[in-house]
Amino acid sequence: MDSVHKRAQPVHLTTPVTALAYHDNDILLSGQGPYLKTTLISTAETLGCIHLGQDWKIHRIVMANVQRISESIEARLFMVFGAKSLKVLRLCVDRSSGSNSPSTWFQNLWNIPHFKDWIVDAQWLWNKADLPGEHPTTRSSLRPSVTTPPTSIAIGYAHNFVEIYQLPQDPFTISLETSDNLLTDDNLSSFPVVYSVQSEEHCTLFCGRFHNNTLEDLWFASGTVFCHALLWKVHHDDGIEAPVVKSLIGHEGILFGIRWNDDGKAVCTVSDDRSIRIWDITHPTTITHTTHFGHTARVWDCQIVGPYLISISEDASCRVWRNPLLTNAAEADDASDCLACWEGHEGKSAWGVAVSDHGVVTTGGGDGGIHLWRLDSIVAGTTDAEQNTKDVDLPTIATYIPDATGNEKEFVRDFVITSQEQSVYSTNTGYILVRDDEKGTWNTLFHSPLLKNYSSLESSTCGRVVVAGCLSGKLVIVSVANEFEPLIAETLGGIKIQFVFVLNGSDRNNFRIVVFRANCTVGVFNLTISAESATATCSHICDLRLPNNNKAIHAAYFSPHYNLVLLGSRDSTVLVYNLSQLNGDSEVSTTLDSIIDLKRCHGSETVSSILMVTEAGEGVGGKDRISVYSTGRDGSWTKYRFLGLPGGETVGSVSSVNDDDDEDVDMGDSDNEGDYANESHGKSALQRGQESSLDDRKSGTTVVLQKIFRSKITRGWLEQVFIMDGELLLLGFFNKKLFVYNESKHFEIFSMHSGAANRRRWRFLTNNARLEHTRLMYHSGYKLRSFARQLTAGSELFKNAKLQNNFHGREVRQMRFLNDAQPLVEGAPAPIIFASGGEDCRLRMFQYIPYKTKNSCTALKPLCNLKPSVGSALRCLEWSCTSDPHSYLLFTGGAVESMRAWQVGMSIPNSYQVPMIEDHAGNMIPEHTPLSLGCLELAQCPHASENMETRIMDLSVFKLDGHSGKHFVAAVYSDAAIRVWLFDEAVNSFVLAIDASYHAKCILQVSHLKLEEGGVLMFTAATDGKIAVWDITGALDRFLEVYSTDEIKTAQASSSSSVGRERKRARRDHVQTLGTPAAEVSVHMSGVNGLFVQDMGVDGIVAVSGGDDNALSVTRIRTVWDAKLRTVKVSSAKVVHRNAYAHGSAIQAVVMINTTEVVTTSQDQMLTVWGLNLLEDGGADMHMLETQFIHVPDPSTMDTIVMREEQRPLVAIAGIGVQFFDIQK
Amino acid sequence: MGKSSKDKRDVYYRMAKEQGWRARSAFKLMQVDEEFNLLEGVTKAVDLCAAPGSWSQVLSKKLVENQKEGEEAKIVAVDLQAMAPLPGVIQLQGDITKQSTADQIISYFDGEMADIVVCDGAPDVTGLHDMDEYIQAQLLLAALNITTHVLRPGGSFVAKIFRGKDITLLYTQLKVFFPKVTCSKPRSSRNSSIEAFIVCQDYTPPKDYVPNMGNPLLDLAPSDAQGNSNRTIVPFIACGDLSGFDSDMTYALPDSGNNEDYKVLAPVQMPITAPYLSAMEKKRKGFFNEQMSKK
Repeated sequence: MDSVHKRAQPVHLTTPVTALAYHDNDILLSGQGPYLKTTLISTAETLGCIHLGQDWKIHRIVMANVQRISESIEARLFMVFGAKSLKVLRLCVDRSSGSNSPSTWFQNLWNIPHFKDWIVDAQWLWNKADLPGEHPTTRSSLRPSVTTPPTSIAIGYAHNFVEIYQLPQDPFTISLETSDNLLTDDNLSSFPVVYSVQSEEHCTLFCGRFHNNTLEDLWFASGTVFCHALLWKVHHDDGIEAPVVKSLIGHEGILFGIRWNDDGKAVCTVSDDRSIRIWDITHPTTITHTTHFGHTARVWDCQIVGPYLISISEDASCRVWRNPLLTNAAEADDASDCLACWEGHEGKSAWGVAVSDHGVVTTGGGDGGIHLWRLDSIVAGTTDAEQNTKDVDLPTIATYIPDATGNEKEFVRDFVITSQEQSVYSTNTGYILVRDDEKGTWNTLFHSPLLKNYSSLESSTCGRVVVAGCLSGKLVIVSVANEFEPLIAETLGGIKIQFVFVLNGSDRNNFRIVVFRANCTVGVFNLTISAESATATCSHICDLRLPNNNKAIHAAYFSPHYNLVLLGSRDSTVLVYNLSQLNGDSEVSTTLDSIIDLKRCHGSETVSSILMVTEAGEGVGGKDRISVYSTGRDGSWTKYRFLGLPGGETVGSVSSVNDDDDEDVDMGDSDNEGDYANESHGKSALQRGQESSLDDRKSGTTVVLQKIFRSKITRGWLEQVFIMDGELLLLGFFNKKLFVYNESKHFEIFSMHSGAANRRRWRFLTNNARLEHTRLMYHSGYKLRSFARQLTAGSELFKNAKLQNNFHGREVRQMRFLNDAQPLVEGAPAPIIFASGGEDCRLRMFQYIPYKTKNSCTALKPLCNLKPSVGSALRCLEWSCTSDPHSYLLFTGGAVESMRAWQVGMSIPNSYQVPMIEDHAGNMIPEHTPLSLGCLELAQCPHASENMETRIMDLSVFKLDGHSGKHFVAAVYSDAAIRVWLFDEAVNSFVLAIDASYHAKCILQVSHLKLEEGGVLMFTAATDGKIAVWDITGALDRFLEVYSTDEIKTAQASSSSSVGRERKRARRDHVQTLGTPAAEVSVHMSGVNGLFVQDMGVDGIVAVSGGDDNALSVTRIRTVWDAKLRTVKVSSAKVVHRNAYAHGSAIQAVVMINTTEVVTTSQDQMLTVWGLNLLEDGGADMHMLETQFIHVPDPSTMDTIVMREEQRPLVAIAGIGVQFFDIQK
Repeated sequence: MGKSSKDKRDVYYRMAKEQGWRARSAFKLMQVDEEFNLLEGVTKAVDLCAAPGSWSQVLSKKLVENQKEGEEAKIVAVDLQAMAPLPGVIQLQGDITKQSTADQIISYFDGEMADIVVCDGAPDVTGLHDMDEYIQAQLLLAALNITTHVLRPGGSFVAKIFRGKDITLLYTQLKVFFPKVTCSKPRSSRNSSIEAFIVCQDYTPPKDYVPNMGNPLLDLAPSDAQGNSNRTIVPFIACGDLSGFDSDMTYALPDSGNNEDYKVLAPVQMPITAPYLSAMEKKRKGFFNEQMSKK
């Protein structure tokens, strides 16, 4: 490896996962850039990882057969190829350690570095005599039916020709201890081409596939750029050009993927035209095909696996389809041939897919993540769903009504699922029946004329108690397992009970029952079961006063700990009642007022469910974090936080939206949803001791319920939110399908036809976040349908569906390390944290956990994943620190002129496990600093540009001495505007300080320098290749003068201006202008893409810049500080060095890692380290120290941080993925 | 975001529509020509990968100006896909990797050769960068190969390139045929785009070189030359008037401030074929809405 002698050592890489293959049902091989990795599916443990070499990019892994060495050791021959390179390797697996994970290692057998053309497929070939029957390397290559080794390799190339290479040696005779590449330049000829053939069709292929494993039977399927698939036989007798045997014509775009069915009777193609086509090639003359549309972007690959087709696409999803070859014509009319759409990857493209024999589908994303899926989870539209859905019919009436006349009009009035095996029904004749769903037997629980002709049924979550609300206003309370005598309770007033909610109380025998009466009143009751006496008592606690004009209550939650009742209403309001406000001995008819009345929680649609979660000690300052979640018929879910509850976070404290790795939270589309609760408003009002006069918050008490965000999931309805196994699940309806969406992991787990979503017409019960044991009952016409699924062989296959964490799904535009992160525990290393944003519109933060020992891997631990607004790419971000060492500010800017301020708080999670590892000195140390990170949006910057499409291109943030809590954010815009904003922590809002326009071009870079002697310089650079130097000292002084005299007014004004439906225009009360720049230098022919400015003391200021013109320039600037006038004069500014050929393509980023060394990166995917000499005569010299290839395509941003312990710089480059380099001394 | 948002974002897109060009790329060729005077005196030109035809439009305009008495300007536009007709432009629907296409082009020039060959073609970009660069290089080499059949010695060749990781290898290839090779970026091409144009002047085929369409594979050297000091370097020139429009800049629309009056112009020429037309058709009929997930 070239990098061995480099100072810049690559230490971590996350890029798209492009190749996946199973060794067996548990060991997965994955290819990511040049890295080949083995992972255990069951535990997500990485077993091994090797680097194949500088120029490598793994495009595919092709398995051969397994060689059994001993009882516990096996070896798997395989090859990997990418671009024009191919390697033959062996994976050795030793399971002798018994219950522990197997140990694995790789052997590099033969490496052929440079073939004559791009490889589109490679295939193992055997001697025909060695193959008893089936060709072994079919789709899954998991059939080791052959024990003899392969003898040669067939390679298919992008120019539609094939070569056969003979293996130089029987691979099975090579010792497992051999570790080096057996091929050197000297014996390259020992890998001879034994056969070569060109297809008669000369054209370029994006894809091609072999079929069969002997030269005699070998076929090649070519997917051409001219939309055709060509099938031809590789081995033929006449001439050097092989004739095309079959042409598959029908696609309307380039073919990106082609595969054979295992039996060779069908071919599957995917194309630019977004379709999948399955071609039946059995007939000698006519070829028929089926076409499958569904992916919303181009399709990359599709394979036929038994009854399914499995495809991956540019739309980042993996879809499962019904195999049309097994479907008869009648069924084919069914419009829904797509059975599942798995969306586990962010951004663009799923690139790799593999299927194990156990039906575990692995997908590799453009986001660098690896996701696991289960084929047996597919329900929708499958025969499985049909088989497992049954009608529920009431038993013959005579079996439970002894004196039935036969004239009774009997049907199910309402029903509930109480457990995996039981369901309870109320009937029209007033019976409550329980059904054993396994045996299909019925029993009568209770019957009463009270329940005749009307009942509203509900059960407790434990399923032990069933409550029926009656027309007469009475409640019938029964025990399913006969724990207590049935009870009839009064609910006051004799008003019809419309809805009943049975909510968990203080212990397992205590419940709160909330009833919604037909006259729009709400009553709360206490139900207690006495186990000894086998009785239950129900007493009225109070009524809850609803606001005027309230329509109906659709959701309720009771928190025994805080004694709160939360209600969600049809008019989109969340109401909170504090039952502790009741006097213990108050009279019976107490009616309680709400303490919180939060309107427009779901636009104007119904709040359909509500839930409250307390995470002990996870909030700010070790307080409890108390969150509320609701779903609505606007298709959204909303997250709130409670402030001011006992033990919880207090009003005014910095809270955390989002803590650790697994919780991905989308911020709602705040552009659409104007009623975004704004932190700054409420906070500033409360801080001034005023009562908030907002009608969405009654702050009579100090308890505040604050909307954090709303996120839209579906164009249909969301009906239920639940948290299982720590994952947030959302249940909704869309297009007559019920679906369950895993919001924490962003994928749909379940979907099934279930008819419409009318309340009370469906019931759903599941046991865990994987929905392994799931029941669904729904009305379909007059029928009651019951579906159940039990995924038995399941959870043991894998624990975590996210086998490998993902990074951004599209190009990262900027990443910035948090430079002065403090260790959270004494003695622990300071965490290395960075924030990044890009084209996927997401703001993410990660902790980089460096390589410590030989056995541990570097890792990026996701800390935060937010989508501030849909469709607004992030272009730039910068950190700033506050007086609190564990709280920081982050500013982000990007498309549609959006700029936001975020508060980022760090704390130690109160429950965590950090593995102890051995460091180089043999000491046991924690692998990393455990960290919980909360990120809260503080403010949005107002608009200032004429054109809404204006992009914010770059930011630079600084504070001035003596002005703590005031952050100046210099921003440059695509419409040539240069603005400096003040972000004042005291009021959490932006005020425009300086507004100017220069360059008359799109401005690309902004930077600043606080000069030691005094004064602030700002540097801007644009697509015209010029750098302008600005003295902004005076303008800042003048601004601060007027701002401080008018602080409160300004703050109030701007505070209110950043709240509300739409972002307001910036106020210009105190805005200063800039005259002409202090200096301007032309440094590049076109865009300045990288600018790094540093004050070198006596040597003056140095600006190193990299341009779109491939050039690297050094500009030296001399300044004079006039302390009296407080101005900075530029005495000289000139380009003193220019290397026009610094890179082969546009330079994208420049950083100085110390005063004498510069690192650059470019579109040519190189990282170059330069030595910088400042010459005495005012000139400068720059010379290349080293250069190496980076594995991040489209590198856009680079940043550096000094690792505190090692005292050396870490450099990270991000684009499509991210790569880290440790710069050694 | 309405139809006008692309107009707002991209000044050249708007100008192309106003001035009747089929695509904004017309400005790129014009700016390259301003810098290099490539079209001076040219009467015979070949436009490879011509659809939708904006470069043919530019060629047509310039060549008619150059036309002398009794001499006729000739432009042959080649593309795989059908293209809406353009006056004065001979259209040829064909594959530039085929000998027959080369022969057909030559036949239009009555035994003479072209003064210039231009190629604004770009393959479908998949997002797998090394694959995309490879395919783009193949397209460029195919264009170069057909150029060696039809270009007169001393003529020029202009083609779109992606300035990716293997770009220096392509420079090496081009240097074999052209002593003067420049990488040029017109200001109408976005700063953020990886695209640039290679301007190859003074066609001088190697001695004894015989054009051969049967061998599209020029022998590309191993990629280990990357970044080393012995890599082929070609000068970079940004072209187009520096005081002219900036393709990255956000311009206020005319009459901005009251955008309701702003009239969005229809594209000059809608594409007449695209691979995703069937999928689009299905989308129009609501297929995807019914079928697809809720996101």
